Amino acid sequence: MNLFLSSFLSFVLLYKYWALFIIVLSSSFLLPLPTNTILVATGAFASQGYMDISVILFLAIIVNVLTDCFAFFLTYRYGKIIIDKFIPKWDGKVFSVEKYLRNYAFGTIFLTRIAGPFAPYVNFLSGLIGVRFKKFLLADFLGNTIGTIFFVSAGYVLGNYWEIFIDDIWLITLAIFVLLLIYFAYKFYSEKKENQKK
Amino acid sequence: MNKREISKPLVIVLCIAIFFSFSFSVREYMRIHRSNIIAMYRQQITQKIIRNHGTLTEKNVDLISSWMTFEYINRIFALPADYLKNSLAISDVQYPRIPISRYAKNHKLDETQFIAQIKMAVGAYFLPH
Repeated sequence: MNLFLSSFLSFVLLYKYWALFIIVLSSSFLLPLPTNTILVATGAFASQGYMDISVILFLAIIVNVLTDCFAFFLTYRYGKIIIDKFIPKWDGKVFSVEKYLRNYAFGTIFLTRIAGPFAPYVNFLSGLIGVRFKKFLLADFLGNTIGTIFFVSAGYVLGNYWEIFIDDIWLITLAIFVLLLIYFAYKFYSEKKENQKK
Repeated sequence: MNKREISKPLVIVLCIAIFFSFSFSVREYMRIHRSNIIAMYRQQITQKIIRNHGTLTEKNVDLISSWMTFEYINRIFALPADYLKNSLAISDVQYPRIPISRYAKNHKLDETQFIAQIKMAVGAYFLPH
């Protein structure tokens, strides 16, 4: 286990829910922290009676969703003003990502909640290009709930031997990435088919 | 609009294949059910979960790591609150809410050696007195 992760685990052991709150908040806002690994660990701590699983689940889901919504609204409200100020020649489009995110918003938001480091960037972009808030909230809530329940319960089931799982977390990230590609391919194909019909 | 032509022989072959796959699956399921394999696996999984959640003993001292706090070690090994404090002569006021790595660093101890001492102390607790 690396020093970076060890420090976070000690932090969680010392400050329990406050530490979890800070880690989840920071990682959903911008910092690329090993949140999934921390969630697995807290699940294991809950199985050992050191923490309470219902508090962990509630806290992680609520903090994730609220922070994501905050990031969304931040760029929804101020994104264009900030970009106009710093990038005067900006044409209102966030490169080619905008079109893709606008078309495939639900799946992209949903899948990036579960794994991968892209969630904070997708939050900002979603707000910036004006994804419908209801759609954002639904995808965000579902993704965060499924992801959190999965990682926390994995830790809970593995209990004392939760550390054997952390080396395989990258596999889940890879699986999510593949799912994301399949989702894009499917949407692209169905869109093309629809255009042909017209 | 072009209507796709479906080859009849192909449909018949597919139907036969589906029928055989289905009957094979049902037969296999019944065989597994009869030989109690599902119940056996369920029992094994339950045993594993129980093993993963039980209080740790001297056989599990290798799980002790530098990121753990003394408070956490006391909890997972069900040790008395002052057991490690007394057996390792710890005088730090932050005990037990201090990680092993920080304690070793603060007191200029070799971390690996200190962890080995903790493992020995925990192991000794479970020896018959």
